[in-house]
Amino acid sequence: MFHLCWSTLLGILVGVLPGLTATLGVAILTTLTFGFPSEIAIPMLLCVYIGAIYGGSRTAIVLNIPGTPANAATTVDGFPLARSGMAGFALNVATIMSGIGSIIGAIFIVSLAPALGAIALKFGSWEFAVLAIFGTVIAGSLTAPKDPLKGWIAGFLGLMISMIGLDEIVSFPRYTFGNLQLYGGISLLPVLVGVYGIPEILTSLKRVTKPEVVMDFSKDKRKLSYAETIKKNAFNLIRSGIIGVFIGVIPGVGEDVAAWVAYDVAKRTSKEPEKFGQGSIEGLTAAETANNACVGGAIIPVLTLAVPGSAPAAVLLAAMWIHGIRAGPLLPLQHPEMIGYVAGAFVVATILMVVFGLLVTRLFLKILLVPTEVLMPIIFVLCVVGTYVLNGRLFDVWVMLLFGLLGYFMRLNEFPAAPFVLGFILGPMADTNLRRALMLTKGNLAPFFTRPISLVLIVAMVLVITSKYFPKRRGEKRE
Amino acid sequence: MKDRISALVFILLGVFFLVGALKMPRTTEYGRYGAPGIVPAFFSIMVILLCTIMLLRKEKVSLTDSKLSSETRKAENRRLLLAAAMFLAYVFLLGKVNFVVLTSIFLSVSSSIFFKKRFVPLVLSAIGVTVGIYYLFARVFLLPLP
Repeated sequence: MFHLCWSTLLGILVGVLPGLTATLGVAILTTLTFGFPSEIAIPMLLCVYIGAIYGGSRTAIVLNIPGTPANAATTVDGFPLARSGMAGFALNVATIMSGIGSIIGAIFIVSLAPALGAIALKFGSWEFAVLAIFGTVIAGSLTAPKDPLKGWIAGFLGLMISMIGLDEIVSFPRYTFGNLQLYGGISLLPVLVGVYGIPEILTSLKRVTKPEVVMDFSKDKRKLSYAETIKKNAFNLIRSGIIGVFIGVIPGVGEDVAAWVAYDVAKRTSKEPEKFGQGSIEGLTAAETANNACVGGAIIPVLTLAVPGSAPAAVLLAAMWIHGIRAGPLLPLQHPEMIGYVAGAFVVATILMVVFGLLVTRLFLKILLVPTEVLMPIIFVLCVVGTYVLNGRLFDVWVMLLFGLLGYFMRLNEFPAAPFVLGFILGPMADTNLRRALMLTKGNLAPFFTRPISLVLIVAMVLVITSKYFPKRRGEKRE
Repeated sequence: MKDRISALVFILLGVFFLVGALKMPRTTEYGRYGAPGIVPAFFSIMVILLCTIMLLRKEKVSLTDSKLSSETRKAENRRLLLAAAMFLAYVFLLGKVNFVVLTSIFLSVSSSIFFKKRFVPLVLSAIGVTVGIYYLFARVFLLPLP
């Protein structure tokens, strides 16, 4: 319980600090949990994940900067509420709604994961190969909605780079150039820390302007009690929670998209849409419920398909592998207790998050007084140390820097990082299963189009590509 | 222009991977469909194809183009280069200089360069943070440090 408490606090702290994301928080803590048994390490990582997604709402409300990308929608109404003297009320409402969102996520883990797991057991090599590419393409479309082509390029780059190292069928060294360090392939953690952490640190350090902070909690101008607020927003809460879960299930989409979609739906169906953007409790509720519910949704495909629903879930998946838990279709057979165990850990993490959220997060906001210029070099040292301790070799640190450079280049040119990371994770699955499928059919591609699940995935992929790209091209031509 | 440059960079990377894939054995003990180059070739062709589309399409207007003055942009670039150089130097010296000493110096120098205020408190806090990181990783979690 002690470990769960401090990891929840660490998660909230990671969320509170702009520039640190839930992905980075889970990645850094993974390096610290090498010595822990899996039954302690995995709940700890869940605590960091849930805590960080929630913690980002603190800065979104008082600073107008989302602590994590998941809290971007929270800024729209959270900051106006803080400016109007309702900072304390907004912070507590966000805490309560995040807690309820997480509980909705936990309910869906227990109810949806076994059903999805049963479907996953019908998967063969054909389905797994298509699923890996499907996940990457969908992630590309959804994380770069204004220019999906860049999302797909990022995804295929990730798939391509994941080919470095010994292949899993004939153990042929690919792109190793005789370098023994590359024979084992590139570890996921340096790639993750590099692609997410380094660009964030560099961007924060180069920034010259300073943000406005609203930390006056002395006034309380709220009109409703917390119970009345929950009652008034009950339908919005449940709907946003369900939206969050289902968006979480889609590979690579993540909490930020969930929050925006729930926010958009709440605005469209609201009786007072004009209040959105001016400090609407409905808007705050939708965003905060959905992003935390999304965590539960994102874990469902991790457990059942070994396909992460979001970037932090991708690191969680990697951490599960490091701790000897092979998530995927065989999980219910190999670790039948795991789904219930994760859901239980989820509930405990949520309770801790709400308790700490209501009691200590205002104190945590004091850390915002530490200048970014002082904080970011410390974060860089943590990234370096966290990457080094993975295998105890400096090679991983250089890999992290290299991928940091690539990540920064991608960020400058507006390529999303999530499909790249997802592609990197799913690459080996695509490789092994595509070749295995081809070997089984002696090169015949027909089963990809005749097996129902594979066909459904291919059709869905084609629909996503055509709906995302071609209408845009037509629109451009009209302009 | 930005899109075209990135498309060209990624096409070159794709070609590099494609050439590597074509040099791999064409057949294995599992037959030619188990060949290790099939999937890397497919992925690199996809990268080249998608980047070619980006290269040939009408240039898109950047959605996040900031309206910074040239002086601010120059100042930002200076800070960026400085940060990158310091990070490289730190990683280069890792393992060659004692971790606590190196990290204390790195944190003190980088904090005081970017946050140009009160040198002594910055140095003291840098030493405190370094000892804290060392204690947490090396003593509490018994993990190796460079």
